[in-house]
Amino acid sequence: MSYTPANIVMPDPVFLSTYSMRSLQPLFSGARQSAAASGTYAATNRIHYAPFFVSKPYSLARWFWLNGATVGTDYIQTAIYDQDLNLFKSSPRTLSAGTVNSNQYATPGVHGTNVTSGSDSTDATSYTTASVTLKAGVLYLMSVENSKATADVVSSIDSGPTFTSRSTVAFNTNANRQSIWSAVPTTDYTGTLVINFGGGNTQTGAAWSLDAFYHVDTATTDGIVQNATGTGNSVTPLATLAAFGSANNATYGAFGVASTSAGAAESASYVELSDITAATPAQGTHTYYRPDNDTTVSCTITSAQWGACAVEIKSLGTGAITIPPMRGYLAIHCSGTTATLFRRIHLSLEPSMYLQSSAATGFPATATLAASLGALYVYGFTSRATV
Amino acid sequence: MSYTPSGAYEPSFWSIGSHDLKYTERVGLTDATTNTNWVANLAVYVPFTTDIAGTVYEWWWYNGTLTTAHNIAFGIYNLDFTAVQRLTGVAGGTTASAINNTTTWTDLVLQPGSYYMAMADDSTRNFLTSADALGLYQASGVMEQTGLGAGPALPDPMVPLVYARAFLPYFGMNLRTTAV
Repeated sequence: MSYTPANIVMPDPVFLSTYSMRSLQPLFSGARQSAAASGTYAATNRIHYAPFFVSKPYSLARWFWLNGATVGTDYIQTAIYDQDLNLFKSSPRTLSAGTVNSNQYATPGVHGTNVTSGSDSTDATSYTTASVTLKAGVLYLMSVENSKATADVVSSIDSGPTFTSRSTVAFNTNANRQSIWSAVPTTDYTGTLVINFGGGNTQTGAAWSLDAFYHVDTATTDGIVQNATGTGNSVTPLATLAAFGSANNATYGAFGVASTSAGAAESASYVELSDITAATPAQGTHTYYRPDNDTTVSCTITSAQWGACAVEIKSLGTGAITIPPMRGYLAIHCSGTTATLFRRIHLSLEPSMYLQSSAATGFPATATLAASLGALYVYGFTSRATV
Repeated sequence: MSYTPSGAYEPSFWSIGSHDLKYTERVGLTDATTNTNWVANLAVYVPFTTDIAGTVYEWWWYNGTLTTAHNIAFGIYNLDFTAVQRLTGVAGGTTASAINNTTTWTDLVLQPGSYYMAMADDSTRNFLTSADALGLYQASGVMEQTGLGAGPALPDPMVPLVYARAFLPYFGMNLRTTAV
């Protein structure tokens, strides 16, 4: 009797896309009546989710997507969600660019998302957020704007992981204050967070935004490299950072306003993470980020008194990241419908895919799946660092 | 005590080809039915994976309708672009629309893993190819190299570039001893 060795699992491919054996290729026979072709993205700020798996630890050197006949204007991100719909990794937000009808690549980088935001117009010494789920190792920035005749500093952010003050500035003749606090949980946490101003320090209202950042080197000061502040009364809140420590580092801005002015949805290559205002007293906070450097951190509002806080976020760099053996979802997000991508639309794909609409700020920390329209875009990741 | 099934045995298949849905990550879908003129001294590199140790006995390719004499080359490369084994200077045959085999490839026991298969030719004759949009080949991980030396000489290591062709030749390796 001859020796019959057991097989190993098929190695994961160099390029793993939504059309891979590790994704929807086995279900794709019906859709293979015609090839994927260039076409417009289905809807602005929509996310498409396609299932996939990897059988061994995978060294992800680059993300890729296949651009169509038109590049430019819109920003594209691809991501991996685990089977429990938690965001695992994402590409940095990247402007559609390069040669038409060709692959575009993005190396690993910082990406952000809003977790929760809110406001409270009651007089109080503390304000409580909605219940949130925070993941160990992720950078969370809590941006708080508060008001009072002389607005107090936030004294602590309680009930969850340890938060540390990173930037604060009073504005509007000290009647308002904008602050940024950071935390990197050591264990997962689910619950509310309490924004405290200390006993007797009653504020007349507050607005807040909790934003999460991934692919951050949190070893020192939670990954916050530097901060800057600014104040004024105009349409352009601004804080000016010093030169960045690395071209890979990201930029984050929190802009408090003493009005109900909304922030522009996108502003000078920034994506808006939150836009919170309250009427009585009139106040609000708007948070933005971009995955790269910008020393002049600004947004656009209707003219008002403003206070701006900005921080530089330290990236883990552009080296490969390791994907553990897992099953989950490959996701793609596009900020508009001008740029085109290769895709195949076929009803036979609908049962195996999902979408999420109106994801204005990119990928959420937790996906909320809705029925698919069977549009399978060509995107994924590769272990190849070049070519 | 839970049931633990024994490892299933799957024999090596008869062939691993450039358009193989099991061993390559093919994104395009057109059949290899187009006769496409080659670019002299062009090499194409197609990533593939195998979970089974198998012996690569020879290579096959499909000439197009022309009868031009030509020389062809095949190889297997590691993911770091270094060569596992190469065969150059194979007389490519002059019969139109015919499948051909190498006869001088040294048997190679290929271990499970991920590799690139390579094909190069020194002429501008045509081959049987698929004809998808070039981006669909890029999304499959296909690369190319132009300006190879006489032979055509597949280099070690390969120095690939972004794939710029809207076609892919139909070729592959035999894992059986009997030629096609």
